[in-house]
Amino acid sequence: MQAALKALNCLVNNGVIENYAIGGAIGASFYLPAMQTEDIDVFVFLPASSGPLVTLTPVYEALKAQGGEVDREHVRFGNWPVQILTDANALIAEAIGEAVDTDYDGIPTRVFTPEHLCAIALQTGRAKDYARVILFLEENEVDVGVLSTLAARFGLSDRLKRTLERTKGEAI
Amino acid sequence: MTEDPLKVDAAKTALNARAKASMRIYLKSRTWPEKIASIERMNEAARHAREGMRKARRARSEHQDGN
Repeated sequence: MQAALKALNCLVNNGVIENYAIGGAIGASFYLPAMQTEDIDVFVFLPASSGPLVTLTPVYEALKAQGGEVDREHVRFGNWPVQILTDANALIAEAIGEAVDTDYDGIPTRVFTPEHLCAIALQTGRAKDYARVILFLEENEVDVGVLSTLAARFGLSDRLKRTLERTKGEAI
Repeated sequence: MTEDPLKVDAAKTALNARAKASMRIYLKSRTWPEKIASIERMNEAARHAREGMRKARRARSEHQDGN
């Protein structure tokens, strides 16, 4: 994991990507007990000068130069598979922009806030994503007020309401 | 004018879908012992990650207290 994070930081320093933040299960593991998968979801801002044709080829090439092994459309650093995802919608773009600085074993990195991790999980909407939101709520690792505001802005209020009802139901 | 919060970039969404499909193929190709080893790595990684986040939160809190 350290090698992957060092490589990503290098891509930011070299201007290959504008910035990045970790989401998904690894992002959640900065706040919660471990979950089952170990693929690193890295959400990137591409530089504005990337042009109308969106491609991740320069990112894969730069990660390869940093020691990554490119396989189809993901990269591996040792045992750690990294999937590079783009700011495909406004919620993801905001999550990258407002990610928090942290460190992993001494290496600086950026991770989505708990509220953005939950909002993106609600947006993705698979069973395991709802389970992640429930875990955040049960562990008190998310500010429900901030999450509710985010959900309202991104059309996710119904999904959040159903999830909150489910956690209340389980508590009874 | 503020950006539409529900706006979706189709080209980037397609890129993300391809990356996710690629990852699914790789994860499904792993053997059971590889998956077990992966869970052990994940548990160890989560320990480092949560420790890092605790330190970062402490530093942010101390910075705020100092201002």
